[in-house]
Amino acid sequence: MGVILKDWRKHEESIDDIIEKYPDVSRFTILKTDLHRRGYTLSEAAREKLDPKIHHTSTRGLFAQKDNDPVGLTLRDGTGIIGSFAANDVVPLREPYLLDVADGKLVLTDQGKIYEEAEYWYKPKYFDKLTSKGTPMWQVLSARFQRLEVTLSHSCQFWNIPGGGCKYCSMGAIGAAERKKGCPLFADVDDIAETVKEAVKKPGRFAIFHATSGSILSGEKLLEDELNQYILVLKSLVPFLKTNKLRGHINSTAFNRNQLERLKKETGLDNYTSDIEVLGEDLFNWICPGKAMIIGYQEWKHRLFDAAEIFGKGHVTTDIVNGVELVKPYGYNTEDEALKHLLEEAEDFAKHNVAVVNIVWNVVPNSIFRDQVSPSLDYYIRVSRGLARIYRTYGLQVYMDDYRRCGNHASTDLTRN
Amino acid sequence: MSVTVSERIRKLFNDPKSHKVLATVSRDGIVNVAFKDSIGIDKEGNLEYLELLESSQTNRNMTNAIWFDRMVAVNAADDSGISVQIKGIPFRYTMVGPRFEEAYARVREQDPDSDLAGIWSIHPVEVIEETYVKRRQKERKLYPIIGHIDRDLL
Repeated sequence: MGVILKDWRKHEESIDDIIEKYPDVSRFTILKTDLHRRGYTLSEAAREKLDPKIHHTSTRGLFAQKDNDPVGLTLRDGTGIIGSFAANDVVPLREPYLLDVADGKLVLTDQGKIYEEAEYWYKPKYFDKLTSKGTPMWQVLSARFQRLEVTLSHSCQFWNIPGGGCKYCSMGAIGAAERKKGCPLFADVDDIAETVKEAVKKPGRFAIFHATSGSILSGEKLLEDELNQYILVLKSLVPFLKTNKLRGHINSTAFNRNQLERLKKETGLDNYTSDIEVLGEDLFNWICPGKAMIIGYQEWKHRLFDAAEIFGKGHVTTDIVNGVELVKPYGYNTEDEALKHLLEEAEDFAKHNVAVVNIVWNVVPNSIFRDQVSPSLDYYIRVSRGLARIYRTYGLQVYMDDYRRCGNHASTDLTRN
Repeated sequence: MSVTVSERIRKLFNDPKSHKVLATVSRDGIVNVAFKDSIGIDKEGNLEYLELLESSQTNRNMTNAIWFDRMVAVNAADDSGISVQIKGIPFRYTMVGPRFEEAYARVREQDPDSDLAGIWSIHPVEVIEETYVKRRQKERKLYPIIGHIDRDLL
C-alpha cells in the first residue's frame, strides 16, 4: 500500500517506544490512539470473519461511512475503536495497522507483530427492521457499541457562509450531496421515536442516547431551529419512558444561556456538549471562520461555562479536534509549544467545570486541510495524559463521554482506573 | 502461567452459599477488598466476576490490573471452614455482545433493580489452600519449631 509520508517510521517514535516511554499509560489506550491516527485494513482472513448478518458494517452517522466495512472494533479491556477503517481508495498518511487472524482470533498487527486481540462490533437487532413509514431503521439511528445515536441533520450551515466551513471537516461535502439529492433538512421525528423504542427492546444493548447535528443557524433567533429540533426529538421519546427521562446527551452548536435553560427545562436533559474544536482564539478564528464570525471563541467558551452552571459539574464537555493546532502555516511551531498552550486553556475550562475531551484528527481527503499532516503518537499521548490529569485535579467525572458512552476519547479512557 | 482449578475448588467458588471476597490494588498502590457474590469459575477454568457497579473502586482497580498485568486475589470460603484463595490476572472485560447481554438478563432477573457494568475474566495464576485446619497441619509438618512450648507439656 502506498503512503504519503514515505519515511515516517524513521522520523517518529514507534508504538513500542511510546509504550515503554509512558509506563503509566494503558497500552490499550496507546494502541487505540495510534489506530485512530493511522487506521487499519483487513487481511483476507479477517475479511472472511466479517459477517454483515451479525456484525456492524453499515452506518449513517454524522460523517460518511462505506457499507460492508467494519464500523468499529472492541479490544479485550473494553476499549472501543471508532471507525478508523482505512478505505482502499484513499492513500493514507502512514501505513495502517492490519487486522488479521491468528489461532482463530482477530488480531491487530503492524509489520507482522501482534499487538492485541480485537472483536468486530455486533449489529444491533433493530438494524434489519423498517419504521412504519418504510424507512430502514439503521438509517434512522446509528450506533456505537453501547451508544444509540441520531444525527438530526447532516447539513452544517456554517458551510453556507463563503469560506465559513471548518477547515478539517468533510461535512460541507456531505451536506451538499444531501441537498442535491433533495434530502429534508431534519431527520423524521416519528421515525426516530419509533426506532428508539425498537432499539431499547434489547436489554443491555445501549447505555446512552446521543443526538447531534450539523449546525443549523436559522430560526427566529440564531440556532432556534436547531434547538427546537432537539427539544422535539427528546420530547417524542417521553411517552414510552418510565420517568420522563432517557439517559441522554446532546452535542449541539453553542446555545446561549436562555436556550440552554429552555433545553434543560423542557426536556430534563442531563448531559451537554458543544464542540469548540480547537483551543485558542487565533487558531479558532483561522480554522473555524464561520463559527468565529457568527458566535466567536470567547462567546462559545462562556456559553459552555453557562452550560456547566445549568447542567452541573461533570455533565458538560467540549471536544477538540486534537492535532489541528499544529497545522501550517499558522499553527504552533512545535508539539511542545502546542501541548503547553492546549493544556493551559483546558485547565481554564476545567476551572469552570467543563471537561475538554480530545479526538484524534483524521486528515480527510474532502477537507480544506487534506494536504496537512497529523502529529506524532507521542504528542497525542501527552495531550491525553495531560487532560486526564486535569480531570482528576478538578474532580471532573466524565462518564457522559467515557469509553462506554462514547468511546472516541483517549483522554476520558485514561480516567477508567 | 495459568494453573488448573480442580473440580472441588470449582464447586466451592460456584456455590451460591459460599462467601467470596475480591482484593485489588489501585493505581496508587492502595489495597481494596470487597465481598462479591457474583464470582464463579467458568467452563475454561477462569475466574469470572460480574461487576454490578461501574463506579466502584474494585472496577477501577480491575481496569488498572488488566492494563498493567497486575494480580488480583479472590478468597472463597464456606460455612464448614473450607477456604481457598486464587490469585490471577484479569485478561478480558466484556461489556458488549451476546455474552454480556445474556449475563445482563440473568442479573436483572435476579434483581430487577440491578444493572451490569461488565464481566471480568481472570486467568488463575496461583491456587492457595486457606482452610485453617489444613494450613495448620502443613505448618506443623514443615516448621515444627513454630508454636508454644506449653503445648508440648503433659
